[in-house]
Amino acid sequence: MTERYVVMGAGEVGSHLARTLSLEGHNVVVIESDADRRDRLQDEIDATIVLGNGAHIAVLESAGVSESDLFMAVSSNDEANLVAASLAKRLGARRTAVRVGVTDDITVHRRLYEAVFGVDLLLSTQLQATTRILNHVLGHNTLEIEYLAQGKVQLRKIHLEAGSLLTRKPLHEMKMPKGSLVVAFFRGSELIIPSGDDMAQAGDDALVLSKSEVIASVERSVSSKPCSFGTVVIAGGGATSFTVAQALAAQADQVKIIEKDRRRAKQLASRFPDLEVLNGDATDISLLRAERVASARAFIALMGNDERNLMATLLAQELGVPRVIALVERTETSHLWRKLGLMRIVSPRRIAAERIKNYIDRGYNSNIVSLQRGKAQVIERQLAAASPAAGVTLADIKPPRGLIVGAVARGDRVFVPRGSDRLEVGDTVILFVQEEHLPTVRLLFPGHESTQRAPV
Amino acid sequence: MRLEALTDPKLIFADLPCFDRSNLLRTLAARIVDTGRLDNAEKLYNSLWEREQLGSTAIGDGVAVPHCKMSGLEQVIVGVALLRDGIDFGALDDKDVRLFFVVVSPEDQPAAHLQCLAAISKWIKVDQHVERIMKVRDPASILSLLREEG
Repeated sequence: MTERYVVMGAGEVGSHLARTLSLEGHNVVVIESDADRRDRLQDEIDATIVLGNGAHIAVLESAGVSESDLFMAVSSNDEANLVAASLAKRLGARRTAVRVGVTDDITVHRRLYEAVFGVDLLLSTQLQATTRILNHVLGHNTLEIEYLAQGKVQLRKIHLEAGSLLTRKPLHEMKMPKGSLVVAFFRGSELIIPSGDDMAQAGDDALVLSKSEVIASVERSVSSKPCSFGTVVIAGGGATSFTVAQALAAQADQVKIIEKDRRRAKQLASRFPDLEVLNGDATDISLLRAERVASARAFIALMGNDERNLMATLLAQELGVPRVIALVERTETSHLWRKLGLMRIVSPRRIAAERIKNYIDRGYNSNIVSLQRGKAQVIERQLAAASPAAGVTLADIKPPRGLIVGAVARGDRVFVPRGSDRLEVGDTVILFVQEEHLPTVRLLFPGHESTQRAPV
Repeated sequence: MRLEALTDPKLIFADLPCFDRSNLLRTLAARIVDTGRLDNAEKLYNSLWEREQLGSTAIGDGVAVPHCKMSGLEQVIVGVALLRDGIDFGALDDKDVRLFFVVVSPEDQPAAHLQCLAAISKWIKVDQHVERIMKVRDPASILSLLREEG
């Protein structure tokens, strides 16, 4: 079916989306304020391009947003994206997707942003990039669901070798760290939402839900691998570095940040006494040698400049660092990086474009994480006064096999509920539901399916 | 939970002449008040309507379970309504709804309320239950079907 799409911003995310969608035969209109960019894109794709500012009503109207199935605000200006999406919704766009750069504020206040600006899919490129980087560094597999309970809860897929405790004891005998829960096993193409009597088999992947602060100890307790990570060196002290460093601090023996700007280095050092901050140039091999970067377990280049990141990662690779990761802004060069042996590159813009495309391909289903092609779903619901589950204890609910109430967020607190815990109006609950129980869940935990979730 | 214990022949409404969601909920509210168990049809309608605003209670395959909690009630009551022609009730599978279980529970019994809904949801899933209930019309047969384990 031909759909109508309006894309605001013909940068990398926008042009990628516009190209893909128009190749699929859809009706695509692009809004771009820069005449050169417009001309370049015009030569390249079969789409109408409107020159102007997407945060202006007249421009939105001439792009035909009122008739659009999805309005995508993916320019590099966060505020303009939010304003444009809000206007587009008012003018009649059926749905809106917004890409923003910032992380913290969006993570904490996502619902408010979505409500105020009428956003159906809100993505933070920085947050997604951080998750990918951490997966590369730690070799684990945190699902890219950044917003469960405002970022307080994470889901991680952990591969279980023969030695793992989970393969030796049924779940009810496992002493999992407080605030964590095994919510699914992936066994070949099968997905199992387990009950207490179930046991994993070697080779399974376990999906573990956990409060963010204990996820590292959860991984240690179920994985049979030794978990020491040695030293991680981060080149560049920007916002992404900071989020990555914070997440690594709990797991790596040491995190070093190399920042060229003296003032920024000083700021970082005083704010984070646990991190070792060096003032220097990460593209200077003598500095890398002097700091014994060669013995680091991982090197991450996050200097906000592709050329400098390339230089630094080549040096780190030359020195023999086993895991070298770089953030690359200009994705069109990514194959060149790979030619140089730099396989672990993270491109925030490409990730954003893929996520929006996925949202479209899944029938605009953004509220849920779909596991194993829809065999199970992760649903986040806030309990209203009229929700049947409000005021009831978990023991009263007696969740059937295939339905797990995984976590409850109440105010600032997040916990994994036990039988005697009572759900309250205002709680946000995270549910794991096997397909056949979805109708029951919609009845007992009603809610509009509007929050953003990544497909897995 | 035994469903047939929560209903009675007066709460079984076959061939309701309803044409849309609001009309159906109003009719159900009025009929339940007619049985004398509750006294304010407007209030009941409002509560049922409010719950629908959170998300449709249509659960697919032509079935919906409108429900709410009310003060001044002693035990959970379950009504069953069958329509000759289905109506659009906002079901995710887009099917029109012909069979309605309406559940009204005392405000101070949230656990019983939830368990009743879960029991209905389980009963509906049993093969042939829905097909069979759609075919019968008299309250006695409907009650005896509800007696079958979910």
